[in-house]
Amino acid sequence: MKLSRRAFESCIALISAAMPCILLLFVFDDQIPTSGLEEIGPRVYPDTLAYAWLALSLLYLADQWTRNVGEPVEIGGSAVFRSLAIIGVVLVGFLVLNVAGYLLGAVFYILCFTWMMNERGWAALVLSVVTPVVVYVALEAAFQVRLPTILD
Amino acid sequence: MDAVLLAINHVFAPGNLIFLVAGVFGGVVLGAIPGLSATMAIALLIPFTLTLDPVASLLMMTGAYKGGIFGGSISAILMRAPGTSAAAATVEDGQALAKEGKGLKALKVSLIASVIGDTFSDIILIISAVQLARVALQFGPVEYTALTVFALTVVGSAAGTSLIKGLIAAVAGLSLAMVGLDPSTGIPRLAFGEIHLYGGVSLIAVLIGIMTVAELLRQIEQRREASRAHIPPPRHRDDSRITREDARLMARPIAAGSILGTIIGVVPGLGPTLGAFLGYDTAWRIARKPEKFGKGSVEAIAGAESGNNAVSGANLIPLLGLGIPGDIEAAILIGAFLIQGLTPGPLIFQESPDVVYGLYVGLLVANAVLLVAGLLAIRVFVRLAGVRTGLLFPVVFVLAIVGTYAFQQSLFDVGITFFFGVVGYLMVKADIPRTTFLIGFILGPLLEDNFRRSLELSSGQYDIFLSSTLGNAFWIAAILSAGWVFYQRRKMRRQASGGKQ
Amino acid sequence: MKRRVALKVLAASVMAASLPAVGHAEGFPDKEITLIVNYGAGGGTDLSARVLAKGAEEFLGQPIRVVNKTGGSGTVGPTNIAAAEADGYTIGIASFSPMAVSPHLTPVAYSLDSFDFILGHARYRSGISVGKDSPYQTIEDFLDAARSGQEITYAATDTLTKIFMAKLQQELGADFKAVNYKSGQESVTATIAGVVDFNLEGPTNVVPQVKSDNLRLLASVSSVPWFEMPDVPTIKDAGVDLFVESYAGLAAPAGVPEDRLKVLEDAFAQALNDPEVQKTMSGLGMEPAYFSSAEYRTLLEEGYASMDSDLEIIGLK
Repeated sequence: MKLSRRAFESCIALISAAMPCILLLFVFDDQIPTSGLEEIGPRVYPDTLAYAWLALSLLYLADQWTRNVGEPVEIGGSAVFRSLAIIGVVLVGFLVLNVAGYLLGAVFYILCFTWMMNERGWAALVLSVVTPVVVYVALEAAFQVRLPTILD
Repeated sequence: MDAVLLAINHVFAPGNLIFLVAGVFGGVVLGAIPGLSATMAIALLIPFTLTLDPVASLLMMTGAYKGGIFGGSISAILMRAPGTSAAAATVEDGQALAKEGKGLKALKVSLIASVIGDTFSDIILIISAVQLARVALQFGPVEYTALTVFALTVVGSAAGTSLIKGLIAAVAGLSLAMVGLDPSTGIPRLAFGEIHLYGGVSLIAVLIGIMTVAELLRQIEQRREASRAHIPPPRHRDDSRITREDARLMARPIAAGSILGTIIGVVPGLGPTLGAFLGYDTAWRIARKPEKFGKGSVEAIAGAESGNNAVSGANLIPLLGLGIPGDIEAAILIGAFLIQGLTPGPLIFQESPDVVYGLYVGLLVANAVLLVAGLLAIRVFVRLAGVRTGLLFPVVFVLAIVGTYAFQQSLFDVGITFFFGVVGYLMVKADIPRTTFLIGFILGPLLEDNFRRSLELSSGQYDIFLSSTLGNAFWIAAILSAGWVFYQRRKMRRQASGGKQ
Repeated sequence: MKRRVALKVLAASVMAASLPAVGHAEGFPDKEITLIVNYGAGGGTDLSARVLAKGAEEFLGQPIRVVNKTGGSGTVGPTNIAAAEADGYTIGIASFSPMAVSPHLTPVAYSLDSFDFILGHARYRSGISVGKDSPYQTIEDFLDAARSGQEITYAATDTLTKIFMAKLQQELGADFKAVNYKSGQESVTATIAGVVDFNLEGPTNVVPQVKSDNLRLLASVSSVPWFEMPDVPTIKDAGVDLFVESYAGLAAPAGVPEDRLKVLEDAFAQALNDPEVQKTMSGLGMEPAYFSSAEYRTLLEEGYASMDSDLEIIGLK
């Protein structure tokens, strides 16, 4: 799928414009406690920022709309799939880290990523075991930082 | 004079020298590993200050600080993974050079610029700590607000392709910095009930996520063919050293970066990251070859690296001259002073001149040590970075998350790192400058606190922002700086389109 | 007050000395103890905890590993203590603010009942200090100006001092304006630079500046004068019956066996009694102050209860 640069940049501008709107409409009211006694409300600064963000986004939208420069953007199927796969590995790995501790999580990450980068020999296997152990021991010895393991 | 001789003796006493050297080497290595920063190195050294001689412990800490700032640039240049936020400005140009097989050249430029920046600011410290420290008192809330806005326009315009996009990224960074305690009520805001967010989002976690993890994800994505060395070997002898031409190019940006970095160091709260970015930007404005910026410019690296290291020495100016710490590292040094029974501030010159002179001599010696340690370290790290990417990047990924965890021993931070890894990855795709986001995030508290303080002082009257001469100078500078960038961009665009027709 | 503290420390040490070979009888502790500090490495709380831990190691016969769990204005540390196993091998700093104040303002996963307290070991003090060019030479000058109703600005850094200022404002009919700062260092700097008229910081930040003639301490606003400057009166001496104080102490998760708590209390009390430890803590601006386990709990409970009405004064409840 091909997108013109104008359409692509406009999408970015719109997404960027949406974020301060979400903050202003749904988040700030809830998440910024007020005490009512201050002379200067706690909302002044956050609101200023959000409006600045919104204004800049709209400015960018206008700027892109008036001049259409740059190469069209290719949004391909396999690249998207690969990106999603990577993000998936990161998330699953985080789960492993949380559930089974640091050592297994690290082994998982190294195995997955070396595999995805076409590094599928014994070197990857050895690294996936040696790295976490070395790091664990080094941190413990040098900084007294104990990484959580499956035993904790 | 006797005091100075005594100090020299003191510093070169074998025991003290070992601590100094260990501090510098440790700082370089820790700084070079993404996630382990100079701040962490210093914090880890604190227990030693309970028992060590004051000069030895101060030397070890300042050595680690200097080493850490340089070390961060090693991984920035070789792997696009800045070890510290101060090295973020070096990423693009350093990496571009490394990709041409000129990694060693880039590292050497960075090292020389760092050492010169360090030495320059140390000398300024030695000559005029007490006098210059008063400058820190010129900066009230209004001046800080104007200065921060000025810095943001400068940084926003330097990076990336579009000024507006840069500013959007900066504002997004500022917004992220709002998470945490409300500065006036002390109640958490925007934390969604998550206790780990009460204190704000951890800078280390965001830095590692948005720079290092995002970069690793990109590398992993691109690697479809068989994995090979990430950085090609040098093709020519000149690729690995600083040529006469390079030296000529470096002179001006190093001078500019050193001066700017020193000024930033004198003003409490600004820090080395800003020093790097302003050094980079100024180098661009006075460059002989501005078109090379972002594509492997020696001038860019020289400006950024002298800029961030020059902050380290100057940070001690308000500390020694007034007893006010310039940043977190200097605040930790105050603890070290107190625990040794010393009074941070000008009194120390009378109470224990030996400590002051010891510190002075030690700082200069530390710069020499940094030169040697740097030269050794870059050889090792270049070799490491020569490992096939398919093996290198997964290991660096694991190191990065370990570093994030180790900083506060919090798995929540690791989650934050991953989140911002994905955000950074998307920002790369959308060509939104990550460095501006980062600097917005770093400067956010400074801007908000001072913006609100100004209004608290004026009971909500906005005209207070125009009430100070120094502040007004910064406002004008901000407008001029942004205007100049607009003008330059337009000129370049016109030239580009003129060339096509 | 000061004498009382000294007596208590003395009593504790006598008591501890009379127990032969503290703690080793039942084999506790037989491994390393972890001490969680709720503020960052290098600050006054952290350094004094480290000094104290170093002293206690001697009496416990086991190393103490200090771990910083920062964040949440000091609430992350106690959260971690409360969640740890109640075997006495994980303890930590439970300072006044996260125990008595924060739970009113933010949802936290602990209450006072989540802890067994070991002892209170230090007092945080505050004082009114002004820049060297300030028109206020003495606390009386200051109080007169405040009573006249003129606007006086101060650097505010924490909730406790804000409550104190609100009470003082009511009492004097004054017009104090708070300008918020995040750290004592910043607020001291602002006072020196003349951005604000005065601050309420503690000795850690103020004493070096008074010595360097950048600040002038008008009065201690704690229950005791500052031992660093015994000639400066307390605000109570000047006829205002108010004070503000905060404390640092040690806690373990609730449910640690009684005898183990005793071992810990004795070891830390003995460490606190060591002149070297006291000297280093004092140098850091922390006043060594011994409160027994029960006293410290009472202190926190009373503080917690009074916060309800106190926070209302500054609009936070």
